Amino acid sequence: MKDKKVLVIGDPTQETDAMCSLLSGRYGGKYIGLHTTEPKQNGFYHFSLADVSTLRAEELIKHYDHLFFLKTKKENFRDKEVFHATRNFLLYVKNWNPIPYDVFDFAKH
Amino acid sequence: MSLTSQNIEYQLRVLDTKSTSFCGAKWYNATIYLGAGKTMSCHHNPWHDIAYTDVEENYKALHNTDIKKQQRQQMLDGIRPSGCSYCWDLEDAGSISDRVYKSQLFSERDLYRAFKSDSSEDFDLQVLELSFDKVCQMACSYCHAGYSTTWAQDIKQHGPYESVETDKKLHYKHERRVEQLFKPDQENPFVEAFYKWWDKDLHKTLKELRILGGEPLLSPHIWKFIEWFKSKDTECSLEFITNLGPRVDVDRFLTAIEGEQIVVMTSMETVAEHAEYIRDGVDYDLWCQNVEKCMASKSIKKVSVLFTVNALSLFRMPELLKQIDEWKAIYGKDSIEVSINILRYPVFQNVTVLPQELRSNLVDGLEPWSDNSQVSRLIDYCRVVDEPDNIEQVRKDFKSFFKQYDQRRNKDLIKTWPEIKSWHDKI
Repeated sequence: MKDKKVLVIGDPTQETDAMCSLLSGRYGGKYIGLHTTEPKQNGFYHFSLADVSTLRAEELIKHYDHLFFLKTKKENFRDKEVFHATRNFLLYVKNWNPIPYDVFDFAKH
Repeated sequence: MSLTSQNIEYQLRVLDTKSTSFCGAKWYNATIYLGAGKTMSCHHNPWHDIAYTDVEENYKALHNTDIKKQQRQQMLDGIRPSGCSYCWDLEDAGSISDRVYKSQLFSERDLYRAFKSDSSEDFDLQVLELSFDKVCQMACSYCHAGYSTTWAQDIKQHGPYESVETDKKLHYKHERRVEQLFKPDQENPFVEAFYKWWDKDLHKTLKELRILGGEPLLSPHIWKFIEWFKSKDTECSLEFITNLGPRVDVDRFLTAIEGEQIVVMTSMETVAEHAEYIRDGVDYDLWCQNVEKCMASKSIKKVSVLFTVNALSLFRMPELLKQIDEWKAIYGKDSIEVSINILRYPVFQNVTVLPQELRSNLVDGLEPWSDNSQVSRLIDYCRVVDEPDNIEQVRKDFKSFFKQYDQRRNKDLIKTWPEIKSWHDKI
């Protein structure tokens, strides 16, 4: 993952930022943080579907090499609409495989 | 009491005594897109995601989403949900809004039950518009990839439409693949949830079920659905919104629904080469033949022709109305009806893109049908409605969009509408 553009998708909280930082450290990539346009350099980025629309997200993920979805319980999402949109976006990625992805469950790591 | 007075009386007595933002559609009415995993409580609302994890545990979550429950609570508290702005704008302008008309579809007893409910409670639907997927063989100029796989193919093959500044919702820029969550051969938990809900409750509570697409008669789900519906004991009326276009197997459809009483709703707003230009993929003569087959079938209760009136359709719209009159004379006056809606978006295809004098002249041709309130409303609209403030940009977008549409679809706007050439050249 060191020489790749990696996107972390989670809920719109500082926790997602922290998880992005943690993942970048774990995989030896550069932490970049919240980013809602096309990525220019390799590293670990994050956004939530509160930051960009689902349609925009569909476009943006094409510019990444790998996706991480952060596994978060529904009750921990501040905005239920964003939770549902994120779950369905994961379903789209799972079914159509536009790019490789993992679901990252922090509790198991 | 006039109809307007009756509606005002209903609003004040039935709705506003509950709350000034109460609407029965939030509880009993829905449009559900099973392929996209999205729902809205009425067609004026923006759609939102249904959680498939919720649906696996509780099939009623297809309609009773967290978002709708929040909005119901807002309505009970007298707060206006922002997604319902279409109605609030009308009411603020002193008009009767659709929440009045839509609520009247439900009994006062059911509305009272909704009013007294806890917002966490699940409700069974009474009116449902259902789309299995967006498979469609056509790509009409005013549609987009969210409702048509052929439109998605256009964007995939040729890229986004450029220089269409008023396309704020990215209708012409995006394949919208994310709005088709499942591959055609995949199991869809939303479809499974619908069937479970039907078996348990909906067969008793639904009064109207309207099947949408894409083009529903091309959906891989459709034949199974019809067989399944026929096997059920229900009072629910069934309607299909179909384009009756090429590849739609109308004979198979009519055979499949034998013994039922179905309403077919089909879109068309003009005739011949004008229709074939706007509704890219349609064969107008074939469409007429298919309408006639439907009207001749004992299983079709009625054909309803849905006019989506746009700028280009105004020119030969009277010919279609005349054709419908001829059909009424042959098949009976109740065999076919018209439903006239004015296209609002994309704004550059709205009738206001045309010069005011031209659109006024065009609707003079509709006068013979002005005893139809929908036609007279259209005539009034075209004669009096002001141009939008950004009319110059809207016209530039009209020109830019149709230039690209012509190139991609092998069409010719000016050859089809030579009468707009001088106006078009000046844009």
